[in-house]
Amino acid sequence: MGEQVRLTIDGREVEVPQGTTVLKAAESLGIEIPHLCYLEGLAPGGACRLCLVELDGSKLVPSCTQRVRDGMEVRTDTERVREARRFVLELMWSIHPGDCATCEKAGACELQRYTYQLGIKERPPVELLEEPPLDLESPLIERDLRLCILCGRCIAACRELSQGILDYMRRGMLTLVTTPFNKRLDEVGCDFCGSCIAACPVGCLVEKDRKFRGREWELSPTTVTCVLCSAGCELVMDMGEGEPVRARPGADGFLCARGKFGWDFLTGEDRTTAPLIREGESFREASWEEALAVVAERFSRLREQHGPQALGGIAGAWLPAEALYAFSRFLREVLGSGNLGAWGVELGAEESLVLPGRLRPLSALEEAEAILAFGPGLAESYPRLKVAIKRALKERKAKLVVIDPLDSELGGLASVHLRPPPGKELATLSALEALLGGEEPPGGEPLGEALAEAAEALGKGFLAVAPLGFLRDVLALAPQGVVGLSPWANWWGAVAAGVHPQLLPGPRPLPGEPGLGPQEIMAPGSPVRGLLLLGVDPLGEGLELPELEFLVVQDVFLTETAKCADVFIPLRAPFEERGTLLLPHPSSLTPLPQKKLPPTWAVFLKLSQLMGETWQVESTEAVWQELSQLLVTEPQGEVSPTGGGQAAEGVLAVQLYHRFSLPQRAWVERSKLGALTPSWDSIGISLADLESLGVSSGEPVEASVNGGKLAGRAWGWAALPPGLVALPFRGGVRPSGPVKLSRAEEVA
Amino acid sequence: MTTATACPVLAVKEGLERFARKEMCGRCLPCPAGVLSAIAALERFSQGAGTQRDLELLSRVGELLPQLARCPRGQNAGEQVAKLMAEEGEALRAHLAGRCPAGECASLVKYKVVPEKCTMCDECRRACPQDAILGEPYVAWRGDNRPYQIILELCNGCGACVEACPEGAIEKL
Repeated sequence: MGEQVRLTIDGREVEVPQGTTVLKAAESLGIEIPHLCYLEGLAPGGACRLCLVELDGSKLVPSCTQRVRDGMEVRTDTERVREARRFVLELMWSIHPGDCATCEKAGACELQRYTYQLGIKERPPVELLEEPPLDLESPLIERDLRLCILCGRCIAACRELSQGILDYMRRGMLTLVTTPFNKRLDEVGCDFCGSCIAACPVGCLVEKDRKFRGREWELSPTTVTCVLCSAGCELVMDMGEGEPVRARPGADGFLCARGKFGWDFLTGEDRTTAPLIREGESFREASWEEALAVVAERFSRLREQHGPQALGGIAGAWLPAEALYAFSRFLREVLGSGNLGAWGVELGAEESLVLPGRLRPLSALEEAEAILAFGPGLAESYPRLKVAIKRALKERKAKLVVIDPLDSELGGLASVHLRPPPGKELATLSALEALLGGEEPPGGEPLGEALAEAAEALGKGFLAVAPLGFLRDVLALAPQGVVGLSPWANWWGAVAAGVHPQLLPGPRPLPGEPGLGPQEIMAPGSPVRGLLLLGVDPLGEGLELPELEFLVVQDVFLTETAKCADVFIPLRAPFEERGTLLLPHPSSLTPLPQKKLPPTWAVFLKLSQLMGETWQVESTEAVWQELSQLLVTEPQGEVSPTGGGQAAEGVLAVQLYHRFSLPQRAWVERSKLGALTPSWDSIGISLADLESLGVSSGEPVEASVNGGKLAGRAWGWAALPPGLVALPFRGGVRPSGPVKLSRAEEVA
Repeated sequence: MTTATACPVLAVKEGLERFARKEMCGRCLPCPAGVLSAIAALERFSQGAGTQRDLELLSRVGELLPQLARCPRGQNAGEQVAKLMAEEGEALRAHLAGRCPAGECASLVKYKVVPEKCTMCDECRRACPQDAILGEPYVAWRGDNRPYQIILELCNGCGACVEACPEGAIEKL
């Protein structure tokens, strides 16, 4: 590190490392210098001139950009400085025709705060050459440029955390901070991460849904962990009158569209909060006692008739580990069935056993020296990943190798972007593995030179990141560990809680015969007669149920699947249940207020008791205690990659967790994210394929894959190479082999 | 930068406008907001609507913009205002009182018809955009031909009548 520099601020001596800004040096002394355009973590711009300080008794300089010098004498609070700051604030007011009485930012507005601090009583007349525009048309975010004070923070936030679609437009006194040609946000590729809103010091950028739902000081914040993907971002939920009003980024400083806006389905009006029992074609409301008694009775009867192997259960891996553990315990210990699994957690037993100790949280990437990102459109699916990698590139000068056939965002950041032709991804990975192991890669490898560069960039110690489906393949390569990406926040929690046909909690190997996994349970002709679905909706994904005698669905909404249930049991929604996420480190979930439903583990406790099993737990903590003692922390065994395999001919498909999609259809349908593209039913098609198909973006298409059909809307995506289709994530579909695309009449 | 304007208020205002139109980038706040405020204040001065508060605003722009602006161009804009404040106190006070000593601030200049020179040709009345001139064209056989008159309450000082008058019969008041 550099040397220390000694300077005086307001008569006090301080020693800071060379290269520190005066603003930061003052902060280390506890001296707050007002600033508007500079935001911690973003590059300083020196645009607002509010953070002026007096240097060596003469010059006024902005302290956010001024670096310290030895012997420097800084004054932060002279009358001359205060007068200059007052002037700057008054000038801001002269272009800010704001009305604090109705402004959503009032109370948290930095212009307001500093105006108060400096005691400015009179606002100068507003002088504008022309009225800046008001954008009411963009989805989710409202932009009132009349309130903009041109500080440029949103520009820096958008550039460093997202797509960089905001900038200064026009010049001189007509300057605006806006999108190119002042177009709507959705027309210029906005990610709707809301980083601009978080950065805005005034009320220029506001969440539409936040408007008129309480003043800033009336909202009460609760810090929770986002469960809409496995990144595990901290999220500050501001509650007003018992309902979530707005989400803000927590300590990570970033949320994606899902965390920022995607939880809005929680406030949906049609939550079902009473258990339902089927009566002919419809349901009747029942008490909890009655509903659970029916479930216990029917499961007991089926077990007597067909044996325990005729029972099974599938759980959604977004639930807390306690709920998942109670579920797996109920199936194995009480029902005696080994037919269970987590929906869409495509992980074999072998790699699951190797993961403890090797699995790393996403934030570990920020500390990595080298990163191997394997998989299609990872940043497009998980925007938080891009932020983590950008930080590693910037702070650690990390090297990034990307293997992705798409012209993806991560590819744009990479030191080496290997773009194998579709279907050859795993072969490329094998060749890279050979090179890293000091061997010659197999001949005929077209990416030869780039591969050597990639191997050199990665060196010996690197972290790998991949979606669950490819975790096994990168696990064999990455000595420092892997980061697994999934739409399911608690996918590792599910595996560790034993929600797996071949694993016991821990995960530990299962002695004896494995049971059936979710795919086999759902397959036509499956031997399962009585099925328990916990927070999963296969019918919402367009799948069909096998032939069943009894179906129990426990879910948040009356989903497509729930409508076919014999008994429906209401479930706490995401963000509403206390418990633990394994990220892979245990992370406590703070619950938001909920609709008086029992905790999920307690439902299984009650069911166990009704079926004559004694299980002694009284609290969520006790369930966690029981599970945590089972958890394994060291890898068990080794794993070899699946290898290249045979690439199929024709159009191939990859699966992407589109950035505006959510894990369940019932959630997306109730969220405003569902109206954006790409979302739940967007089928990404390369521009060339779109043209040869004779379809334009937004029109209904159908993709046939693995014998199944996936209906959706075409989404022309320039990042895709011809011959590759980006299907939206479905827990029940794992595309392999060629895909057939066809026009469809209407989306189902 | 040369200017043909003799009134210092107008000259600085035009200078700032030229700077804003051609050079200003608008990326550090004090410059666009400060120059815009200064132009607006000078505009009010040239219309005789300037106030003590405008005078204070101008003196702060002059004092602080040179220290606050990031680039020399912005600083120079502030210095133009500073120079006005330092050297043209009298002109500013006159404008505050509703007079333009150089007679160039249109709103502050009024005109009159010199009756001895007026030939009652009607050119000025037709040129006046404000309908501020009273009179009837000369008719030889009438005995009551009277020189034209300008109604000061309606005159906006545009000077169209001066240019229209073939006799040079209209003068500043």
